[in-house]
Amino acid sequence: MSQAPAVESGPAPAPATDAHPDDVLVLDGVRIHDDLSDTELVHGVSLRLRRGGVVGIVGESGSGKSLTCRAVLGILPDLIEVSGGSITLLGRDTATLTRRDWTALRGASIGAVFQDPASYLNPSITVGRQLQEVLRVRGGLSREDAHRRAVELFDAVHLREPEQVYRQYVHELSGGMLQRVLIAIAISLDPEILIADEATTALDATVQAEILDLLAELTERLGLALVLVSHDLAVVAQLCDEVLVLRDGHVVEQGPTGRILHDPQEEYTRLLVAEHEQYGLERYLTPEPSHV
Amino acid sequence: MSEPILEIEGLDVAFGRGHARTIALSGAALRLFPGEAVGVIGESGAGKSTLARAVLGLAPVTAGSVRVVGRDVARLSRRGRREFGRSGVAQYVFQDPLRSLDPDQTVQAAVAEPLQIRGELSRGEIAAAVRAQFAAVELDESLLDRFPAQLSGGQRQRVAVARALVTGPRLLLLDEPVSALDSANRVRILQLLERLRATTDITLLFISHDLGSIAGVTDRTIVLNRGRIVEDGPTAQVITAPRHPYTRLLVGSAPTLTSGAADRARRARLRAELAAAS
Repeated sequence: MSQAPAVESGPAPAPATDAHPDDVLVLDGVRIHDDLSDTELVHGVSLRLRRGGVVGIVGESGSGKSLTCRAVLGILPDLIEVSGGSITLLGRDTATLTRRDWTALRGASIGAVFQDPASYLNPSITVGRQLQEVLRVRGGLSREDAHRRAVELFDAVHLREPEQVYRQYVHELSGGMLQRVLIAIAISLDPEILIADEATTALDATVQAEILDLLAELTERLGLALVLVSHDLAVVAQLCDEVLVLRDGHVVEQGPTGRILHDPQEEYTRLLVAEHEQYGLERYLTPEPSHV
Repeated sequence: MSEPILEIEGLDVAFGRGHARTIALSGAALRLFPGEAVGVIGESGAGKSTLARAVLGLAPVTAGSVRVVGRDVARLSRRGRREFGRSGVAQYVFQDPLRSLDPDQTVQAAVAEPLQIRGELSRGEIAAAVRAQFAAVELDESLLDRFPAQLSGGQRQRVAVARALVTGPRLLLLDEPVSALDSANRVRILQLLERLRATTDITLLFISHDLGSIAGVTDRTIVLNRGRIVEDGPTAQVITAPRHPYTRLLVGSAPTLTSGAADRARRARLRAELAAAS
């Protein structure tokens, strides 16, 4: 598997020029460069996400999927920068954004959840207080309104007994509950876009499904657009309209989910499919393998 | 019928005392026969790791027995445990080979060590056995003098498998062996296990939180829920016709290429059923 991956194979995504009013996020040939080692890490990612749409990014660790997310959130590490292409977030070219613009956008327009929820929360403050603070400081709500809204949000992400959860600390909650808390915080300012980067990876299978179901529900109910990132093609496939397969910073394949699953063009994508069909549950669930 | 390789009867394991006492396993019973590959699945906290520890003779057993090739390992003396370990009858592969392999030991030395401890072979015979084992797990001989940190995750896990297999164990316990690996390496380890099964009568106990991996290599699956074995049957049957409400939810929750929006409503129903049953 040492052949050079095709940089832009599959049906090329529509260029950013014919912008659609419903586009909330458009990446056009985004390249990411590490100035320290003078190497390019991501070699041109294009995607477009519409209001309420779901795009999936599949790749191993090191594929560039998290860097791409961080570029979209404006939180690339020091000395790593977008070196080519463009990111258009709600109609604005992110290259023109100041630090202050970013601060205003994050949370209010774009939210994110990651793999390890506990590390994004303060262990010494109740989780309710942390959400209440966001609603107060960023949302401009009064203390009482923020409290009430926080409980509503905990209820909206299906935390049972939200009033009780409000008063609990990180160590008192399970991984699945913490991820719900993080999702509640991420959607608290009604952003248009949510990025979920390996947000269900560390969770037990049944809890992973609960969180994925919640994300699906939120996209439908709130019209939230979702970028779902996972190493597992099956996780991404069940929610997404379009899938990007990333490997070593290259888009190996990109297209509608159905085509990627049933007619993968690239060897690497075929491996991801075969992994499930030959060494997964699908052995027993699908009567005959349709390809590979 | 031949003697079971692993026979667990009425096994209770509890950690802590008094108020802090937690029952980790309750009334566990299972038998593994030569050549079988059995998967153990469950959530974190369901008792999977405790079961693994019990098979290693490392769990605080409060009742019952754990027989590995006829020998009760639940209450071994220190000496008995040493002898049992040295025999190499049962071997283990864990999730993270970077932690289970000695970082200061070349991988060649790591694979040779179990044979040296057993002390039956000459130096030359051990070197030959190590090379043969390297070939069996598809590791290039050029890697023999490397240290674990100099290998990729997939190569390291194959070293761990080679080390486990070099004594020709009857039972191989695999605890989340592919959970930390990427797709290509995961497939490679599963293929290796498949080949191993085809060429030997080794017995596999494959512990995982991922039903997909278990489906890939086992012919029987045991489902653990809250410290109890709630289902034990042919893997195909457990997946296509699960009986316990937890198993039904687990199968319904596993991400597959065929799952879609319709499964959400089904899962909601299965969750309600499980809540009602427990």
